[in-house]
Amino acid sequence: MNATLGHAGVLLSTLAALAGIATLATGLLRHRPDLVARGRTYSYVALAGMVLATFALERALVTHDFSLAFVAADNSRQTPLLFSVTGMWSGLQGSILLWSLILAGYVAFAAFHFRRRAADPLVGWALLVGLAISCFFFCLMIGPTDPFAATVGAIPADGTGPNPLLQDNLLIAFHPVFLYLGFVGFTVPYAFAIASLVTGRVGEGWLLETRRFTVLAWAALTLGIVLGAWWSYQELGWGGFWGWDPVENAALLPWLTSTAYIHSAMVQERRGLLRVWNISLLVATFSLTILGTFLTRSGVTQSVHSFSDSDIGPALIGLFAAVVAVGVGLIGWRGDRLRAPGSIDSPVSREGAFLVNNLLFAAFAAVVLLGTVFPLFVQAIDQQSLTIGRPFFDAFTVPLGIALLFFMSVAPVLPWRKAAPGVLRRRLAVPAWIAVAVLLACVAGGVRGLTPLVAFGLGAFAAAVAGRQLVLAAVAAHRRGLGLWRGIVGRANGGMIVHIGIVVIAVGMTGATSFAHSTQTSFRPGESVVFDGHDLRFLGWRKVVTPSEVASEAVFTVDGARFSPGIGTFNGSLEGTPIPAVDSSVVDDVYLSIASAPSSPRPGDGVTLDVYVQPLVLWLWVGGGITAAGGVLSALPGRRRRPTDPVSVPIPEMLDEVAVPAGAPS
Amino acid sequence: MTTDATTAGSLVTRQSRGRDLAGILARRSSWLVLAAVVVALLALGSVHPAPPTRASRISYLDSVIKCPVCDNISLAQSDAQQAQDLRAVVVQMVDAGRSNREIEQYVVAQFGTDELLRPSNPVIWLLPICGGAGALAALAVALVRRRHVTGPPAADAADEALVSASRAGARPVASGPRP
Repeated sequence: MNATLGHAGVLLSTLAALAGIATLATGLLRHRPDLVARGRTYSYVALAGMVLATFALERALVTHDFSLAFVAADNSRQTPLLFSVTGMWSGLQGSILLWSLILAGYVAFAAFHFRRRAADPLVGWALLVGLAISCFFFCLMIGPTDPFAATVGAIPADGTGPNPLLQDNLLIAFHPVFLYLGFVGFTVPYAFAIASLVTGRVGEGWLLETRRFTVLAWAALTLGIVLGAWWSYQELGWGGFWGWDPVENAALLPWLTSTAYIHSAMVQERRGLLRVWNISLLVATFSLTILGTFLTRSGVTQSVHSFSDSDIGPALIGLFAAVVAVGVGLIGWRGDRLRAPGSIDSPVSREGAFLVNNLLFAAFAAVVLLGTVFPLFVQAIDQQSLTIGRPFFDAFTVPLGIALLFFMSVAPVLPWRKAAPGVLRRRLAVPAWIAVAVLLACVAGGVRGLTPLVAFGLGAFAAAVAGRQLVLAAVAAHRRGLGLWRGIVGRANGGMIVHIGIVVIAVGMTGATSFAHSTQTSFRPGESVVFDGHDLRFLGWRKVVTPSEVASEAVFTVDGARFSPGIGTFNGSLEGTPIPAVDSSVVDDVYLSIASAPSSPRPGDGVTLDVYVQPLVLWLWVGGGITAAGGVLSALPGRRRRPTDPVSVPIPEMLDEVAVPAGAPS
Repeated sequence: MTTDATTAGSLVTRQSRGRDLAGILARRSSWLVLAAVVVALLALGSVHPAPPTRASRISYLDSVIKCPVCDNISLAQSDAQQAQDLRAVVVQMVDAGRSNREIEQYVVAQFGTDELLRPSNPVIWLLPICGGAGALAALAVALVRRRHVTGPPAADAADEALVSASRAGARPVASGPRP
């Protein structure tokens, strides 16, 4: 029943996508606007099919229908309801279904959003590209990754259950979903970029119209990455949050290129410059999301995320090649129309700063990409394995990050075209002295080391500049008779909140990596140890049994409060999984993870514990939240609704005539 | 009279010029002071970094030595038994007074060059440096070349006609509704 329903949904989506592609292609090539306008209906049908398929798979998971091979492998009768629901993305087939559902949702939403312009060839081509990419993923589910394939042989009485790491933490309900919302969201701007190249309408129109899709996808991706870091911090037991693991890098790469794009898109909107560069960044972002999926799902790299191996690698690498080839080919074909109408007047200007920002982000992405794929090439050519780890990435990304912090402080106060030195001095004076005060406080407070001091000082500088912009925006809104809250809404203001969020992340990261202390200590029950100013006391072992899990917990008190790191076994598997416990505070985290313990400890047994004390880690997650919130705020309509409205001050003699505030609805 | 006026005038100019210069210097000097303070603070803050402790050395070594049975995962990240054993060896060697370099050499001798997370292949280190330098050089060449290209083409008669037509008939553009 579930299998039939699911197969029907997937088939319906595939047929709808194919029919949509055919209708749109015919309409666009034969110049039949009626056909082009009708094409969008198929994207709604494709979404309906995916909703049906998702419903079928969720129903199968919740009712433990082991006649489906996927459910038998990723679910068991003991799996709690929440982890049954999230079981959909605990395995490859369900993940592809989630990806397809989100993709169909985005395409349908874009079709709805542009419904009044459905006959416009630009929208038609964009929908065609969106449906073609959807069709690829639908076909994956018909072929190699069928989530509704029947169990081979007799239907088992019970399933094996999800990977223990995937059924212990609430974040599984959020991290993959936000990551996919981010990854897949870049399909829409990519589709419009391709459509603009095909139709030859390479101006700024498509870029403005897809801005919100881009910003929201970016915010979701940011949140997804930060939640992933938080999850691995809570779950993996080594006290770290980022390991430069190939799969983490795969999520970071599109984040870097899309961040660069969000900035350089503003240069194109304002000045018409950097057209080729912007389209290239979008092509890079979208193709890197596909490459990321390939790295995660094909088993070419070893990673903590390698939850599934499969044979969809060649298909994904084919899609990656097609995405890049189409993008690069069209850019080459339209080269003559992509020439910028002007050039950057002065390097000391907003566009100059954005250009440097873009180069830094591109260099950052290039280093991460090199470190991720170079071992694969060496292995393929040389048959020799090569390890690239933290020392390599840190050597390049720390200086790049510091440079980015600096430009983040200066760019927001730079005017467009050309900055007069006086303007810069006036706008930067207060933030610069705030930064010096913070630096002084850090040195006086005993912070030592060049990198952390520079990071904290520049962080304060950037945050002060962003704060200044927000205050000015709020005051300006107030003067025009609008609420103060207007000061945090809109692209520029939301962007400044994002900057503050990034500074908070940078401060947390610096604190956690530069001032971490760790130790490995053995305890007998009743013993206590003081480590790095924290009083740790071991009380003894206790056993915790839930339907899906049997855990031995070592009960500790940290500065008086109870924390119980444990070792859990899920669904009767033999191997124990360490379950760390974290005492979080705004100053520092005390992270407890069991290093070794007797196999079935009795209350009087001892324990060996890894203890990590890391200052400011909490601020990483707070900063992630601020950043995502800023992203959403910057997608809300700001002061100027239409980009074609003039931004210059009215001519003086006309002032009486135009005394109406610039923000009033017209 | 005339001379006086002239003298007074030139005096005023000279004075105001002097004030301007003083003003510029004053404004600049605040930035010079700021720069000096920053340099002094950074120098003060980085001159005496705490000497590496036993714990910080161990956690550094654990983060650069690979778990022997894993890919791309450090000793610190791995809970494999072999990683735990190697960690114990590292702790012993640190306690025996061996330097970080000696310990890394020992590990390489035991498990091969691939055992350090810091890649030994020089190509991987040279590529980003050469790539970055190459990109900067290309950018510089492009910028210089662009500067030599003359600006936008001069306005021709058609452009002039358009401008004068719009000047004659158009109202100044302003935001907001017009009565």
